[in-house]
Amino acid sequence: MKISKKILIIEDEKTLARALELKLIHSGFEVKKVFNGEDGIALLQKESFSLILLDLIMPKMDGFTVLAVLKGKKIKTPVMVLTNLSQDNDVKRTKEFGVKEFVIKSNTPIATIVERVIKLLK
Amino acid sequence: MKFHKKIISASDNIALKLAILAKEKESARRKLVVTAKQLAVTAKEKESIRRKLAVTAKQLAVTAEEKESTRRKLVVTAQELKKSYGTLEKKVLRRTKDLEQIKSKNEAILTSIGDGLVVVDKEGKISYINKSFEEMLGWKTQEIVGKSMVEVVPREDLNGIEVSFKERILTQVLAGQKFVADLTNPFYYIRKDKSRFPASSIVAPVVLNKKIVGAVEVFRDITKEKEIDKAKTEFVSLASHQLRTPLSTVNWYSEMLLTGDVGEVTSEQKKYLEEIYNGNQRMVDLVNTLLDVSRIEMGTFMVEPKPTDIVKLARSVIDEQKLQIDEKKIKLSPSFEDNIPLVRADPKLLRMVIQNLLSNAVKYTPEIGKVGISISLDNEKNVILKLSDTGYGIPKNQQDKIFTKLFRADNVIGKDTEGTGLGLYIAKSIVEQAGGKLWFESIENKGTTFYATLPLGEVKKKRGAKAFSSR
Repeated sequence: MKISKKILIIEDEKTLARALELKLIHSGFEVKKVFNGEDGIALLQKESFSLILLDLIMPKMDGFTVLAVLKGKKIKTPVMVLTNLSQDNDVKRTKEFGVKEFVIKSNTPIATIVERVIKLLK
Repeated sequence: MKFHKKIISASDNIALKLAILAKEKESARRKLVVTAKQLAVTAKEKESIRRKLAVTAKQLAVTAEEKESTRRKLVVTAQELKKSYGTLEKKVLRRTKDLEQIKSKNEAILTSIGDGLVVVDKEGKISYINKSFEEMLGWKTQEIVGKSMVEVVPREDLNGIEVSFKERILTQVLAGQKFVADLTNPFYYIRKDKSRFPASSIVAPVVLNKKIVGAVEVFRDITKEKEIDKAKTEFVSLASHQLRTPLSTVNWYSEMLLTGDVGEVTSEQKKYLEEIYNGNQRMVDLVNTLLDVSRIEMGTFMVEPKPTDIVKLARSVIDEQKLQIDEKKIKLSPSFEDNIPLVRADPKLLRMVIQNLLSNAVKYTPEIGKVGISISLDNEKNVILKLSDTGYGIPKNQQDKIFTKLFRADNVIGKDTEGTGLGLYIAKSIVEQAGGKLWFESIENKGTTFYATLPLGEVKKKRGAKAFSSR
């Protein structure tokens, strides 16, 4: 039996974090979730994950800062940004941190997100 | 005989002499008569002269009187002149005072203008600066008057590169090459202490007798505007985030219910859930469209033109909308000319134009109608996108409003069609930004044809407003 991949959800909107968690667990992933960037960084320093699902607008530490801190700490866990920001410049800023996937939550069915996660971790 | 002869001869002599005398007397008498006559004439002349003299004397008397009168008049005039002079002097004084007041008022106005103001002569040497100029640039009037504006106050473009003498608007205006510099071209002004601030300016020539004798420049510190710009962009970010978050929740949870994640739902329940999901989807679309509009209006769209295959783009939009087209049993006839060159356009934006035009054609055409989409080249090497339908058409009296933001024609509001009144506004903005044109022909209840032309030439790369703020 293959070892299940571990995913970290950093998302302040609890209902959305919960929906993602349910869906991903259902698809066979191990999932941990935190509600702000600070907790995310703290957890990432203790544990390693296969993928981070990262929101951008969050209290305490936003997603952009998380990306900067990860870069500074040389934590190279792949990141999928899940956000409701969609301005070109927001996309560009995250891409500059090497983010490959930029998903706009309101425009994307949750099933599609799960598909993309599976594809990324294949 | 001899004696006789002698006597005769003597008497003859006397007689002769007497005759001569008589003749002489006669001549003398005649002369006297003449003289008498002459004397008489002279006397007459004398009388005439006397009379003339008398007349002259009278005239002289009159002249003397006139002189006196004139003298008197002159005295009066002199007095009047003196009086007038006094009044005039007073008036001049008053007027001078007024002028001085106006001048100082004008100066006060110029000085107090909140924008920086500089007046230069035809050599570009500064002749006047106002207080705002002093405050904004750190130069005092006495330090700078007479110096060349272009040399003393350097300009930098948005990339921080100094604008050369030749390229300075002031130089160009003075040379008569340019008449009013536009405000849409912000730059940096360098202060005396070498620090800088973002500014925009208007430079206009001072024209006297059809000759440029100098120029006036008015400039503004646009730091605040830039901050507002940034705030607006941030507002849109925030609004989009705030509006989309609850929409995402409804979307995902209704989706999870529909896919039976928490147990099977009955077909009736499924129908209701679909209503919720679809209603929410409409709201998502509306928010997205509103965001597009605000991005277009604020210029935060990053236009990234690249060679784009418009035919390929059109085909993919058709595929995307196939479901709606088939649902309404609409006969779609695409017609794409061969060898359409690549268009230099932003594919993301061009796609939006085609999406809007096609979805409108489908939306506003009744079932079993016809929709045509064609792409061709015109004589001037413009790409022409044409979308025709056999739909409801646009009422004649509303045709001029159809591109207005949020406007929807009366004849479609009544019908059960979704629409925000934003699609055409967006499409037109995009096409025009790319240097093209968008127009239509329409007959109510017969159909509408939209035409969009896109030039094959260069499309300027435009940076988004966020990138703008980092300059």
